[in-house]
Amino acid sequence: MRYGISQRFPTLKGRLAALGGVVLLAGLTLAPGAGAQTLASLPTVPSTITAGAPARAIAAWVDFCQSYTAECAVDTAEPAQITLTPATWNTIVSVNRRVNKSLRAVTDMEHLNVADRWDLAEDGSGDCEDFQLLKRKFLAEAGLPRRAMRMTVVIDEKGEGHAVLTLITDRGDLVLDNKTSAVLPWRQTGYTFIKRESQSTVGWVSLGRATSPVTTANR
Amino acid sequence: MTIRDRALPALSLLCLILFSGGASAEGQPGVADRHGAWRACLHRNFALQVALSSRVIAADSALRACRPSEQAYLAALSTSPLVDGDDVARVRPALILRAKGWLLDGGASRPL
Repeated sequence: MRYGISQRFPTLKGRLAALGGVVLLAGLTLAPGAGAQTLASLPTVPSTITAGAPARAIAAWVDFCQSYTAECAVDTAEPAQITLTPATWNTIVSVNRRVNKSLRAVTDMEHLNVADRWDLAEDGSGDCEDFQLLKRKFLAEAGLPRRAMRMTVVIDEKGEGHAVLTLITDRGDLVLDNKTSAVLPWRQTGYTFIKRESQSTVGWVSLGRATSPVTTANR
Repeated sequence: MTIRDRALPALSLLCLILFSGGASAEGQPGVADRHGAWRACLHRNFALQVALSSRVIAADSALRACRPSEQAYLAALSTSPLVDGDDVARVRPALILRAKGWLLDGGASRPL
């Protein structure tokens, strides 16, 4: 029997607050448990994806931005990069893991009978982009600069388009994904990177021919 | 046993073949199916060509021979929700390079 977050917390605010509370609690209490992956395990030489020319925005993202304006706003006064500290790292790992565990993965067609819809998984279910949007919301609430957390489109191991969240950090570009709870340097994902949200304006930029050479997220 | 008795299981099997295996809701092959078909074509052609030529030549030959299935895959990809035609045109060289690398290393280190 499915028992989604929506059934337990009838209002959107209540659901997000509850999930946020779970994530925050996890961050405070379980952070050492997230310790399978440590900050020290990241590559010593940071690798970043080079952003290119403006790219066409995704239709469902445009709709999302009309409904959730603050989620898409770009504040150029914010840092363009996250400075990773052990505390920040633990927050990232915890939020990634908790959102992946808390939401039920379902396609938009199965869920809403539409090809693509971006939202914050208010009813406890969503597909790839919804997971990442919710992670970004929680991370921004935890104090990370939204400008350094960019929604990104890749081609996955099945040859399909897939949405992940790129964190632009002083230790390189890291990828949050609903297919794995490991926070991976972009080169270790095995994905082909297509485009991501701009850091300077409300829009998208191409990621040229960026292909990560190694695949670990084969799910 | 009547013809109808035999026809029913055959019809069921036909339906199973037509409507299963990851096809999209409309019954058309999805992006992953097209990608799988391209990958299978490359693998098959490379296996044939590599017996006659070097691995690099065999890989190039397989990529040429499988252009129709590559185009079918890219066409499906370009109509998927997250990726458009411009994205596909821009990223195609990277995908071809990736496919070539996949053939040359025998798929050992990474999937296509």
